[in-house]
Amino acid sequence: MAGQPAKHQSKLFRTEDYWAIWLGLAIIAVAMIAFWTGGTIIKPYAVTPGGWSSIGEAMKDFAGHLGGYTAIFLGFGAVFTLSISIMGRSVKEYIRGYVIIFIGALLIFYLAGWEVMKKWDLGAPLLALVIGLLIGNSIKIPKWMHTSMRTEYYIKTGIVLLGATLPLTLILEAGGIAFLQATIVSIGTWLTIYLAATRIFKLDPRFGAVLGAGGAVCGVSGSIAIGGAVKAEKDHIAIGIGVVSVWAIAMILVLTVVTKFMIPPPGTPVTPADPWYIITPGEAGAWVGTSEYADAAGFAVVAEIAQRYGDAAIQAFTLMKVIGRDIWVGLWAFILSVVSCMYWEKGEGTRTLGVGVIWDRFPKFVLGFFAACVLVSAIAAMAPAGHIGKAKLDDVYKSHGQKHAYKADFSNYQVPAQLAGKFAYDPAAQVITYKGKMSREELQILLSAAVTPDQEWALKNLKYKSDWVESVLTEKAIAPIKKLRDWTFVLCFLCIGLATRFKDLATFGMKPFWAFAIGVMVNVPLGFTLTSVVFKNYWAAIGH
Amino acid sequence: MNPHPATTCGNCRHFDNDPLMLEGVFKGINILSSVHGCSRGDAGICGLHNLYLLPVHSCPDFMRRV
Repeated sequence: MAGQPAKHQSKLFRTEDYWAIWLGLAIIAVAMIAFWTGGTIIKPYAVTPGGWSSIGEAMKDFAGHLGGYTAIFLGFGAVFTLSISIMGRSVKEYIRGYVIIFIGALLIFYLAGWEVMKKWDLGAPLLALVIGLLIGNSIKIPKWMHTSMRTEYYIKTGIVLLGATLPLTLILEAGGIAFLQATIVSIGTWLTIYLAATRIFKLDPRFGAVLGAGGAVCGVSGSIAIGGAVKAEKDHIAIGIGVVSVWAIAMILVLTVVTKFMIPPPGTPVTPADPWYIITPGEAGAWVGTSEYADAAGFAVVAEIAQRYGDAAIQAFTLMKVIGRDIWVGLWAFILSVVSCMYWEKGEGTRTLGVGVIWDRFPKFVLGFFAACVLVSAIAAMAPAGHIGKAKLDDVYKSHGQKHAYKADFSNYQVPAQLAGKFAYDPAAQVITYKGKMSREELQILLSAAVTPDQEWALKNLKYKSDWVESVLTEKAIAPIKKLRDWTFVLCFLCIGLATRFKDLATFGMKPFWAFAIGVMVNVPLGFTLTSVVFKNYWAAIGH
Repeated sequence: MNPHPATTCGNCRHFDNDPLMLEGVFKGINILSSVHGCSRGDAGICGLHNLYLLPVHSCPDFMRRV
C-alpha cells in the first residue's frame, strides 16, 4: 500500500478537499488580516502577467513580476508538496512535475497576454486546455509526472478562494433558484441516461446508475461516488470514467465556442428585442452549470468567458454547479444504495448503507467555499458609514474589461440641488468627491447635469469610488485573491489537457457512449430552456 | 451502518483501496476527479468479485486480512 495515507491520520489531512480548505482559507485570512491592519502582504506578490505586444514589453513585465511569481511558486508549492506527502505520494515526483506545470502555466499566461491572442479572444483557460491536450496527445507523459497533475486539488483550492469573491447575498438570493433548476436537470438527466442505458442498450442497472450520475451530478466524481455506493463492477467504473471524461472535454470546447458567440460584446445590454439565442454572461454561466459534467470542466468554460466579460459567468456557474448540484452527491449515493440493495443486488445478501454516506461523500471543500464567502461578506458589511469616495479629474475608468481614459472639467458643472450635500468639486486637489455610497438613481441625477462625455466618465468613476467594498476592499484584498484563484485555475486546466489522452480513454463500447449521448441531448436544451426562459430574470441579473 | 464492522470489506483480504493502485486501474480518473477526494473516500476494489465498493460493504466470502 505504497500510496496509502497512514490510517491514524485525521480525516482533516487525508483528502484534497480538506487541504484545499486549509490552503484557501489561510490565504484569505492573511489577506483580510493584512487589509484590516492597513497592510498589503499578499497584493504585491499576487500577480499575473499583463498585456504585451513586443518581446521587450513581455520581458519588462516578467522582470517586474518575478518576485511575485517566485512567491506564488514557493507558497503554493510548499503547501501542495506537504499535503501530497501526507497523502502518501512521492514528494520527489511531485516537485519535478510541479516545476514543469508551474512554468507551463506561466508561459500560457504570457501567451494569453499577447495582443494577438486578445484579438482572437483566446484567454489563458482555453489556451491551457488546448495546449495541454496537444502535448498530452502528441507525446507520452511520463508516469512520474502524473503525481503532480492534481486537477481536482487545484480546482478545489480555486473554488475555496472563489468564495471570497462571491457575495453571500447573491447565494441567498439565487441559491434557491439554483437548487430548483439543478434538481430538475439532475433528475431529468439521470433518468434519461439510466433508462437509455438499461432499456435501450440493456446495460446493467448499476452501470446505468454510474453513467447517469456522471451526467447528472458531478461528472467522474459523481460516477465513482455512486459506483462505490451501489457496488458497481470495476470495469463499469473504468468505462464510466472514460465516457464522462470524453463528453466533458468535448463540452468544454463546444460550450466555450457557442457561449462566446451568444454573448454580445461587453457593455452591450441584452434586450427582449434580441434573438432568443442572445444571452448574458450570467445566463451563460448558469447554462454551463447545468450542462457541464465536472467542476473543473465547467470552470474551464466560465473562466474563459470571464476573461472578457467579468465574473458574472463564474458566479452563476458556481451557484448552479457547486451549490445546486455537487453538494447533493451524498444524497444521491444514499438513495441509489438503497435502490441497489432493494432491486439490483437481489441474492447478494448485503445491507443498505447508513445515512452516514450522505456526509461521507459530501464534497467537503464546499464548506471552505461557504466559510470564505461568510468571512468576506462579514467584513464587507462593516463598510465605514462616513466613507467619502474621491475620483480624479484626469484618470481611467475601467468597466466590463474596457478602459476609458478621461480628462474632465467640472468648473462649470451645475450640481443638482438634491445632491448638493453629498457631491463636491475640489478644484485645488483636482478631484470630485461623494459622501456615502452612490446609488444608481443618484448617478443618473448627476449624469443628467453632465455636459461632456468626460464628465460622465468621471461621475461613473466617482460612483465606483464611493462604493467602499468595490473600490477599497476589493481592490486591496479581494483582487489579489482573485489572481491567486486564476493561478489555481490555469494549473488545473493545463493538467486536464495534459492528463487527457484520448487513445487511452476511448476503450469503451458504443452502448454506454450513446446512452450518455442521449442524456446530453436532453440535458443541453433543458438546461438552456430553464436558464434563458424559465428562470431568465434571475440569471440575467447576475453581474448587473 | 453495517452491524458487523469486523467482517466488512474494509477488513477483507480481497479488498484494496490503495490510491496508487486505483489510479492504475481507473486510467483517466485524474483528468476530472481524484483518488484523494471525498467522492471516492475509502472506496476500493474487491479482487474476488471485481466490484468497486465501500469498506462498510460485506459479503459471505469475507476472509480476514492477515
